[in-house]
Amino acid sequence: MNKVAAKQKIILFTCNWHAFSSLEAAGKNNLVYSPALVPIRISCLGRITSGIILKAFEGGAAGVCLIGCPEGECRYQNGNQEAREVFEESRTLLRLLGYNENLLQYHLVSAGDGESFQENIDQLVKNIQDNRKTR
Amino acid sequence: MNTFAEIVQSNQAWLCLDCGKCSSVCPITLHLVDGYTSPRLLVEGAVNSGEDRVLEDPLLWSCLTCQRCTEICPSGVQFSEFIHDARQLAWEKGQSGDCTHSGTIQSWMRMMTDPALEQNRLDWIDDDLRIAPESEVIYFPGCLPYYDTVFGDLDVEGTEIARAAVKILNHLGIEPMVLENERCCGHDPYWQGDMDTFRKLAELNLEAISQTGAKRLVTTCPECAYTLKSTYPEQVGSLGLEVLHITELLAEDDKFQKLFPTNSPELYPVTYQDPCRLGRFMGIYQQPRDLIQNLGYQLVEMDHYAHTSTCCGTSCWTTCGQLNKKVQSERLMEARSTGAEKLITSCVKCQIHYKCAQRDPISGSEIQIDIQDLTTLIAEKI
Amino acid sequence: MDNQVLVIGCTHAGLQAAQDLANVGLRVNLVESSPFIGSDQNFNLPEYLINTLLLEVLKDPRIKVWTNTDINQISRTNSGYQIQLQQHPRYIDLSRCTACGDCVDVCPVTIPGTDLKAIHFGGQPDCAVIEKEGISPCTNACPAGIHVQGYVALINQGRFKEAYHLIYDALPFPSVCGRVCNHYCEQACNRSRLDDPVNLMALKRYVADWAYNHQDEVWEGGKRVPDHQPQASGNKIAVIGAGPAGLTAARDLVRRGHLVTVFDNHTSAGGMMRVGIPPHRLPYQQLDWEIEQILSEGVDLRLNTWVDDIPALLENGFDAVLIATGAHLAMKVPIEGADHPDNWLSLEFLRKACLGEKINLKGRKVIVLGGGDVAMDAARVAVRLGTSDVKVVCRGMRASFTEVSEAEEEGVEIIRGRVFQRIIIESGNINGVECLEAEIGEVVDGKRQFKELKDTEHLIEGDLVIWALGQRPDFSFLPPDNQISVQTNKGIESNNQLMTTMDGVFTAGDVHRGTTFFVVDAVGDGHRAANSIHNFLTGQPGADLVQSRQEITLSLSEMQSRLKTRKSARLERLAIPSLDVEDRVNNFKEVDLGLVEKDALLESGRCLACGPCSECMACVEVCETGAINFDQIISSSIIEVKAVISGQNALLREDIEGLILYTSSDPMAGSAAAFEVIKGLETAPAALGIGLRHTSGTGTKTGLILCQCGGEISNIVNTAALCNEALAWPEIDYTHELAYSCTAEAAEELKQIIKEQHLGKMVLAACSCCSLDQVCYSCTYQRLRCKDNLGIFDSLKPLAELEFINIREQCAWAHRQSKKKATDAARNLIRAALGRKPVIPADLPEKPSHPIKVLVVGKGASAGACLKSLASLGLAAESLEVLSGDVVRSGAKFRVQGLVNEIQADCLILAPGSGAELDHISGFLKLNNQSLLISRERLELDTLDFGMVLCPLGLDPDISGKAAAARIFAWVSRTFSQEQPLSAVVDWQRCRGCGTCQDICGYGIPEIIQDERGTYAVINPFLCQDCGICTAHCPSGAIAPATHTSSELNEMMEMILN
Repeated sequence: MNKVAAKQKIILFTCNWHAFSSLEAAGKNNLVYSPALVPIRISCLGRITSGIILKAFEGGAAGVCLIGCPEGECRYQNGNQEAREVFEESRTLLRLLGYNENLLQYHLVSAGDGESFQENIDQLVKNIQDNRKTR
Repeated sequence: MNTFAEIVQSNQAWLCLDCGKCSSVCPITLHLVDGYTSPRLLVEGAVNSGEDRVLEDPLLWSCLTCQRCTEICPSGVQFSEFIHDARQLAWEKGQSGDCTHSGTIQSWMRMMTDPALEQNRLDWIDDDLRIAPESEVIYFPGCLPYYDTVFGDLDVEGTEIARAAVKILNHLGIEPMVLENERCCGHDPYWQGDMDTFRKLAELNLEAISQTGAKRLVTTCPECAYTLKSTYPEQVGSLGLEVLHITELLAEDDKFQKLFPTNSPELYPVTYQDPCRLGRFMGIYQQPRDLIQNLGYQLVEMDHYAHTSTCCGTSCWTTCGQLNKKVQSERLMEARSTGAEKLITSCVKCQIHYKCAQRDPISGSEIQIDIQDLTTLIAEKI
Repeated sequence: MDNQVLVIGCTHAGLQAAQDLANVGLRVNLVESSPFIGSDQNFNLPEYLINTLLLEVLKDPRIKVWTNTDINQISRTNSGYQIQLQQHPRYIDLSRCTACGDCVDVCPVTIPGTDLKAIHFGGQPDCAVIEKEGISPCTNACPAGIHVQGYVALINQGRFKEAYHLIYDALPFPSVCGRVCNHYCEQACNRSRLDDPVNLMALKRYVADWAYNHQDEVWEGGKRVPDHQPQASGNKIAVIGAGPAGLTAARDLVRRGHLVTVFDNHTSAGGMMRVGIPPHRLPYQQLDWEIEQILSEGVDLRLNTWVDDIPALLENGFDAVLIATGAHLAMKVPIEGADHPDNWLSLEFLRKACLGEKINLKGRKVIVLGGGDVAMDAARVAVRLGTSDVKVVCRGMRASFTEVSEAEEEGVEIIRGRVFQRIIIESGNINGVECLEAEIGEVVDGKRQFKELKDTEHLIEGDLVIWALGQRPDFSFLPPDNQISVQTNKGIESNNQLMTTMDGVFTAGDVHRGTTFFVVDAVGDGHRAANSIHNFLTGQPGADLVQSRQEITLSLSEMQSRLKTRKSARLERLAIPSLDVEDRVNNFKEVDLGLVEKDALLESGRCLACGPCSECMACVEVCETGAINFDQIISSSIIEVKAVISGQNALLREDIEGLILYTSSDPMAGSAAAFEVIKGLETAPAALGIGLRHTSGTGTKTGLILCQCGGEISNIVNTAALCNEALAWPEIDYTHELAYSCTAEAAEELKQIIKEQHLGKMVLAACSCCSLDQVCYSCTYQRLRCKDNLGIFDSLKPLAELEFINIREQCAWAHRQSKKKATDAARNLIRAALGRKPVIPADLPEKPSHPIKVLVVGKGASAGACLKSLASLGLAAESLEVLSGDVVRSGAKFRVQGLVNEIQADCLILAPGSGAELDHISGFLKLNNQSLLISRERLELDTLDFGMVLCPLGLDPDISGKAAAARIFAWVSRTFSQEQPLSAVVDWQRCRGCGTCQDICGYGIPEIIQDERGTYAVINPFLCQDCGICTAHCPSGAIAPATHTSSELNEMMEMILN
């Protein structure tokens, strides 16, 4: 696959719990979301690091979305908060590197809530794609 | 790209006399717990058994390239350079050390090889700092703005050092230019053996810097200084200007006078950590010491100082762990045992590594000592 | 025998008890009378957690869930209890149903009083169930075996084609039985006890007529094309007689792959249907069409052929013979004048008329002797042949009421109660019949008695006598010397398999019964005979295998209530309209008119859905995995258990000592009940083997399996194209498509593939999504089953590394609007999965050397109960009444500041006595800030910190004490018996001992230790949840998680992006 194709892709990191459930629910209810999204499921969003995020951009991803459990409902207690910090740190790094920090997005969703997953994800994708021009 | 035989040749590994002096000073060898390796064994292995033996030796990646062994070697074996060349071979074969900090730093370095990159790296420049679009002097902060982000939680002096540097330069009547699109100097990729990344970075810097027509380039990072000054000419070509570590510049008479018109009052005792690149690689031992003393501090040396100074324990963001922590803890204890109240260093990486080492739930107190960069120390006095 | 326990009822309490017991290593039988667990329970949990709870229970190999099961009997044994279980059939194969829901869509029956279809879903296991209480009386009554309620249900939905197919499969002559049947079904119809039976015959005729008028719709191109050609058996069978019995048998036999030749001496096929039943009752073109269909299935028909040498048939290549020649001889009684040529035999007369011979009776005075349907047919045919003077003379009338009344309308005079003396002949012509009057007497052994009245001789005038006194078979063609014996006054003798006294020769229909019966009877015989012949030829036992099911009888009140649930219910039965007399007497037009569609829909709506399943077979037709099995039967099992836990109102017929009752449906009660069991039994925690860590296989290749999900996936994601494309990828050696991957067969096939293709890694792209043992919020029963089938929950390791990805929800469904996009999305997921690495097993530390210690904190009454209960479970416990310092968790231990020194414990039970005390305690908890949230809100034991439970205030301290002890014991057993815990592992050489992991872990599991190696972190693999947070924040990258290592994530991204 050539870089051009890769550039269209948005890597979607979901945790295994609320976030993944809402992603599945969206599909179950035929709620269409952008096919540019390629989900990678990790046990907890707290697993994410700025290294992994930068790696995605280094590899040519158009953007990265982080989806986790609602506040206070992290299966592992603090994963979503830790992820939040990593998210902020990575945005700063991206900014330093001249990337538009909006190419990295973060959101928390509830299990089984396909609708809000779709809404949020559409917004995230829109953010990312609006900011693609400014790379 | 050299063959293994060539690098044994070019680094004079074959001259090794098996005297073992190197092993006696190697900080890694010193702290090995299980298994034993040493510069001597590795060189011996290189000469007798060849490439594979070297590529599987843990020292290939754990070596700090601190130059202690080279210093002491009676036969002039260029061990650090040999390690670099061997790592380059290994890299071509897909081997590499273990990245620290989840590979973030390696990633941004590689990302900087993108020619189209337009960084926002100048936010640290406050309004009270004066920089010029064109100037005889370039200030090269290196990765400081990035370290602020990653090591904020260690409260490392990142861009504070940069601000201090410009403040000092301004004080000396110099309005330096700071490049908007400066890249990582490539020191770390170079010493990891990632020559591809190194060359790309170097060429981009070379182009950007040589365009400016400046006469001098000042940096607060010994690694940048050494790489721009010595490694570039060997590998990609000369920048066509003079490269200085800030301590070299400030030690020049006129600047020195301007900084220290009068004798400062006696201050508390401090000790000084010689960064490997500044000291053993560039031979700059005296200038920092003069500066410290003229600030009025009482400089107390550690057991290992200047030529025999001990490395801060980790190199180019790879292969860090138990050993490195021990090197650092020991060095911090050494610093404390001098009775100094502060450990001064002139390399941000020394500061990062020591401050990281001081996060220690068990032996925390024994290794606590304030750590500060010489540049910010000086800036305070202005 | 390992210790088994019986838990009755799937309340939250029951499920909790089952889990606690399983966790301590007991085998649990969880019995639920409904087909689904937890369906009608209310749980003290959020929706998404309920489902995971149910799935956890279903997944647990130590819990056997008996759904749809009643407890027949519980009896005490010296070692415990013996339980008799009776599991009712679900009629669905649990190992096959993929929960696609197609069956529900096609089911025509809605269970009266509900909005559920007769086949429906509901909770877990996510597999359909069919509501079938027995067999509907109508279906049970039909000799031909038509699923009567089924076609009625289909008609009611306007699904006439399916209705016709359903009828046709059992009955080759719907048009006939829609007209001349004696409809046993209607007599049996439950509704006949309420008002009138459903007019089933009229409905059947409606469908038959509809089919005849929509031939191209009924079968593509108007001809029935069998869905699969039967395996040719090479057997040849001769059928003698092309009547309903013969043709039915012939059709059944060709459908089973035999070669069949049908011989008949008439000029057209159909037997009595064609030469006995006159056209005004049965239009022949429909019959002929139906016979054509039979022939088109490959039956060889030889008309005008008189067979009289059966042994010769057997010698000349026929393997079996069926005699189905019917009863075509009409009888005469030898009275004076009976041999005059104007004495006609009814059947000959009818045969000529039916075959269209010109007979003119203009001006003739006809007397028909006899009182059966044949007599009526003869009389009414006579009318249609031009005479208006027709008398039917009989002793008693046996013909059906409508026949008689229609005949009278047509001017036929019926003279009952007569005995014929002689035929009066004058000058060569018949003048009439001399009769005696007779009194109708009692019925004595099946025959009605008549008493002739002396001196009542009188003449009934007429010049033509038609004899219709009954029919009997012609046996003249049978071989001599009684090789095929005949029972006197009866038909051909046969055994219960319808085989005659000559080996290989069978008989069916009227010739077997000895006189004229109805078409359905003949058809029924035909089926039986065909079955027997098939068994005879294939050497199978003759016994009938399908267990006969209970016929359903609805009480009047039940019927009433079912009627009430109808929105618009038609009450009275529809009568069948017929032609006016003047329009019919002079012709052979069909007299009875069919229903119009509107009426057919209304009349079918009168059905009360006795089944409720109507056995319309629509679900069987539509189910792609063949999961529906109507042959399932009630199965009884006997289990031996050590203890029985039951909800209060469970069906405990007699009270047996020692039964443990839980008093409420909340999980606390369940755990308390579990406690009673555990304390009395030897427990041996046996860990769940999760077969993912290392695989037992030796393969090295990588395979990609794409599941089509019966089209759900493959209609949108181009799985075929991906199959080919992926073969070209360097990472893949083998690809394969599967119709379904969650059936047991599929699992077998996959295991086979792994072996044959030497796969070391298999990517399964289906709806299944997770290669961990976790049941996450989005898991489903089918996914569990798929993993189960592949041995993932089995302690046997799977043969290869399995990577699951979900290309149904995530591709086919989410991107339904674009096949290309869906396929691209699937490609991405597959490539990402190729980047995944096998899970790395953590080395097990030696089990905790010290005994597990529990600390009970608080002054509440439950504290005492906890200590007592813990002691009786053999757990070391200590009590701390008042906290005087923080409670933290570090290094897998709770560290509590007591008055004098720090107390360390593996588990914590908080047992406050008052709200103030609880606040005081939680003030000291330096754990997860919300640890007590759930337990406080929901008055539940569990906190967000595993290993710590709270005895909520305001509950019976004894109950909560026992429950807490059981819950803790269960947790300890489960946690410390893991064989391959999913855990992060620290590489001590890369560890800097900085303590970041300890600070960041939500549970404080990592511990910094110091030894000769140095200072470094260790992680207790039993407690680690493998969330990866510590990995992410370790500065030197010393911590490798079991799943999602950095190199794996990087490789996955590379696979996606390159």
